[in-house]
Amino acid sequence: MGADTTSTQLIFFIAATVVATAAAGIMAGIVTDLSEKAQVRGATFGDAIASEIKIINDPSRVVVSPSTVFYVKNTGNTELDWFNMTVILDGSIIATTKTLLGGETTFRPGAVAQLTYAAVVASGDHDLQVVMENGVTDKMRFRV
Amino acid sequence: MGFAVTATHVIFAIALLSAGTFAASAYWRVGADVEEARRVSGDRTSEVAHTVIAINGSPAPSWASGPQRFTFYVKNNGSTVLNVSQFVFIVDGAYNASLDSGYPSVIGNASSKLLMPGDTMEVRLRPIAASPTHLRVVAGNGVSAYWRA
Repeated sequence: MGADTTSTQLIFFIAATVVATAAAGIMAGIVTDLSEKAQVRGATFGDAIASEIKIINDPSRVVVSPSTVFYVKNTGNTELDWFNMTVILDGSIIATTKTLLGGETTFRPGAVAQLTYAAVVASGDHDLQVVMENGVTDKMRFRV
Repeated sequence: MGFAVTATHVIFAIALLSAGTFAASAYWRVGADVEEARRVSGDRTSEVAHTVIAINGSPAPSWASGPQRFTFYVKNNGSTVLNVSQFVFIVDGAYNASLDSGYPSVIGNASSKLLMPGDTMEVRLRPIAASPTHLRVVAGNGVSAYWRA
């Protein structure tokens, strides 16, 4: 009787320990995963806050021939991925050729990027928006 | 049975403690990152608010046909120190970095690259084929000044 009782209790103890350990491990894993994702999100958010760009064209004298040229300056505090700019002209995404001016090799703070749109923009009022990969954006209204 | 329950509680308590520690560490780190970014952003906003530049009207921007040189003066009317080498010039809509050797030059302090509050810098661009009619000067922080003939 005594040995049976002891064995039963031992089995219950082991089972309870295993289940508790598994449950605790899963819970700890989920919390750790969420915490890591929160850190990444916080770093991304902080990066976006510290970033800024400005479209520095003369809005009354935008070069439109033989192609349309826009200039974007990195006025923030972080280096940006200039190759992944999204350029939106009058609500539509346009394809542009991107180059860095002034001998720059990276789009670091202070650098200027030239965006060349291989089309002539029609006369009239237009809206331009440039969006970086981290969501930082600038807009310009101009007239041709 | 009682010991099993106690052991289970201990296991859960340890797991909760370690998870809580990790979560708290992540919370503080995220908070620090965001706070630092907000501080940087605030500093930048404050700097922009105190930056004022102007293209001098006297002497006005001038173009010399012989050397095809366009000369103008930019004054720092704000209260921030600007870096001369970070200025960008848009002449008649086009980016232009064809500076004459030694320019931009801070008047009264040619060897300095800092445009202090109240300072004026002389800028010479060459070659400029025709007399420009539009000029936009952009400082390193994005603040700009505009001139039209």
